[in-house]
Amino acid sequence: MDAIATHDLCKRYGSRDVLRSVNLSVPAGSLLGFLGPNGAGKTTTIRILLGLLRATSGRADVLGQDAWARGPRVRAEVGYLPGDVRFRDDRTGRELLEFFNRARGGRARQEMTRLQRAFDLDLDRRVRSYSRGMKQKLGLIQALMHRPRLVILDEPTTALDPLVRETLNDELRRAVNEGRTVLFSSHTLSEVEELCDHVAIVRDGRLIEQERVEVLRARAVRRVEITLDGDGATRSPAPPALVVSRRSGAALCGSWSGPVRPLLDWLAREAVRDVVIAPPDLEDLFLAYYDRRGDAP
Amino acid sequence: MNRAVLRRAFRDTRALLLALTLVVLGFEVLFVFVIGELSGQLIAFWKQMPFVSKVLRALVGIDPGRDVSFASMVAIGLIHPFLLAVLWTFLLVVCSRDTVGEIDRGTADLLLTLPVSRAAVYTSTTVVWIGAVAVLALATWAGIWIGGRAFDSPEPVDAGRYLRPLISLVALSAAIGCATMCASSFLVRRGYAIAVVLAALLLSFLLNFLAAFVPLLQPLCVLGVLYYYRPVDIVRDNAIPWRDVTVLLSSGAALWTIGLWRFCRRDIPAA
Repeated sequence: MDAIATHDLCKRYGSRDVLRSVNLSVPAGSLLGFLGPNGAGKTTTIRILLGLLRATSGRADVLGQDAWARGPRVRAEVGYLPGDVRFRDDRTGRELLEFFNRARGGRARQEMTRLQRAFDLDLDRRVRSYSRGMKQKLGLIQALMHRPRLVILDEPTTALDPLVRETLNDELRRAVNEGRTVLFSSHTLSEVEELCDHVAIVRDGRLIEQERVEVLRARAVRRVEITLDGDGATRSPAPPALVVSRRSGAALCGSWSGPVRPLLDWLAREAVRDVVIAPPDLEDLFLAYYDRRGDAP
Repeated sequence: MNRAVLRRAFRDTRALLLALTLVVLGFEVLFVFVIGELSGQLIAFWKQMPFVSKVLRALVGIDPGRDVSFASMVAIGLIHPFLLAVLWTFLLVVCSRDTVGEIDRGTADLLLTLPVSRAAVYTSTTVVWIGAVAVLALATWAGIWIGGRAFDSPEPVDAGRYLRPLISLVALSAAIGCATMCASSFLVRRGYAIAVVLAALLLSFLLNFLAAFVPLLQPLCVLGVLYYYRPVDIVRDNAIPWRDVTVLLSSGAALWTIGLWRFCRRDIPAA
């Protein structure tokens, strides 16, 4: 079952289309990185999933139920961290968490204490005295403390130091290991690549890619440097997937896309003195997706 | 309704409510004292000045040439601009807080993604401010009662007569509160919602006032909310004006329902 499934989801503000026929599906138990440049439609999609916005047309199902029509029931099993999380700052962190806990049925106190320790946050200070990072931690605790079946985090690592990021990653992996689902919105590829098993990319309100990370990685381009023996002449023609960008004597520099087996087979037949095959560079792939000039890399 | 939201709304309201209850109570006690001390001189002064009579009729609904009595003068305390200002301030602050206030502050994202319907947020807030309005109305009556017992006055203050105007005061407050909730459901800035309702109230006040001097404006008075709130007449006639109360409550209910409908369907913009 999909934890999230949208069907031709559209959102329009006046004459401006913010989402255009988005068909997103997030398998239950997956950790999906939701990528896209600023203004691509990530937050709008998330807000529709949470019932904060109404879709102009199309449908959004969350945990098998219509996100708008069954809003409160759906949200009982969702944890959410907004991109720009804000709290009533005249309350202490504990008072706020107690309120969220009560509103969700009051069964999260134990997990709240565990998360407070994990994120090392002083809950007895007024929120007005919190730094931005502390507010972000408080937002993460409220999103996770009721152990929701679906966690939706909108750019959660903003203002977090590397140690806290690692704690967050551990918590999210733990949630996924327990069969829960995480949607992790970001515009930073490296954190998504490190954490997620699925990726969806939006650009200009359209979903332009949705795939497993390993599949995308297989599609990505590798940098290749080959030094041949002698004058650099090859015994057989290079495979077409090898794009040579620079040749200097016996040294070749270029890129390789796709599975590496054919490249290794060709190299085995050649007199090779040295070879460097870099890991797939997803950054280039994603930049190509983001680039307005091309619809596909 | 949701207990957690109800409890939070009450907690957010109680300090302001306590402070304003004491202010209202103190004001009414003081007002009864001042009227008790000065009523004779005031009536004589007003009767000599026809222009003042007109102003008083416009402002508080009392006609010094016709029906002035100590009891009616005490009732002015229920329509005194100070009391109205206190009530309006309370209603504008509290009724805009959990709807457009949360959106404006950027905290609506967390509140409205809890497993609580928007209707529950709206009704929980309403229950709290309606209860608070009842407390404030009772504080006005308690002030008159305390003032009547604490100070010497030309006539004994029959506190029972001042219970009837409370129904009208609660109906007026309900109409203003519902209008504020309605405006808050349509707008994205709390300041705009407060400004819209305040402008309507001031216009109503001005209309009532000017109509006493410009007969042409009199037919328009029915459009203003203050036309339906006449505590001096209620005390003088010792009867509840059910027609006025019905107009206030039904217009309030209509605005409240429109606000609820809109709040449940509106987009919540990102902070």
